[in-house]
Amino acid sequence: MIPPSFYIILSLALFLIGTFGILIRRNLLVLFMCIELMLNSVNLALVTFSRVFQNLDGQLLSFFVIAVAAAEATVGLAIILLVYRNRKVVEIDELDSMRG
Amino acid sequence: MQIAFFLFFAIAALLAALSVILQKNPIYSALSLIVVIASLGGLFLLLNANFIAVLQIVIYAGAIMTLFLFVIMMTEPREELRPIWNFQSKAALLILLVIAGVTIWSVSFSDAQITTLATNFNVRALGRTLFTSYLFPFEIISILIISSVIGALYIARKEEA
Repeated sequence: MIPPSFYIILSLALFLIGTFGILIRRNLLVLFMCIELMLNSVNLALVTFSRVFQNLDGQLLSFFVIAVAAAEATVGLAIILLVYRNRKVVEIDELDSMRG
Repeated sequence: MQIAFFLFFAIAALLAALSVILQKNPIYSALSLIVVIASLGGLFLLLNANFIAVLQIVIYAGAIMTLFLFVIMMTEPREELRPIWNFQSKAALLILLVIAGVTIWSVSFSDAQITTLATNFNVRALGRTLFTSYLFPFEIISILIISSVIGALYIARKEEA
């Protein structure tokens, strides 16, 4: 059997790759994909702990994470479309009208 | 046999995750993210989470990523997409590596093992738990999804000038 720590380290690596992607990319859609990557890595950790402790609550929590991610993707992509329609850009460094 | 599957899915997930953040074209990023999601689905199968694995493939790879691809095709990303590589992102990379080191160091003390499967660890028990002790969150999720669909339609509608 594979030790659970391997799964946890893989989940950590995916989460850190997602975080770093958010820091270095400029495209709003790619930033959104990095958020999805981080959510997926958390799901991996939840399912791993659910298997280790033989407790189904972790799997149910990751079920809810998937459902919330679907809702979040719907609204987020609608907002990105609206930004693109108004400003014709999806790069975050062009969106500086609030001097951010 | 299991370790071979684990290594295959883990390496595929890591390489595809790096490809998500390094590709210049967002379409390739989205396709790499589909590979990550499918590999994680395989890992869920290795962890005896069959239902979550099916949800991962059907909802994430099937529905959410299709939505992403449609939105990417509607917007036109700039060709020039060099990553932000200033002092702050270098410092952030250093902090992330420190976090990774501390976590791996603390995980190395763990002696947790994956034991043989209990008899009540299956989809039947999952469904029973979902519709008894998690019934209220389940209904709240349905309200959340309905309101997010209505909100998305409202946000993205054409202005009737």
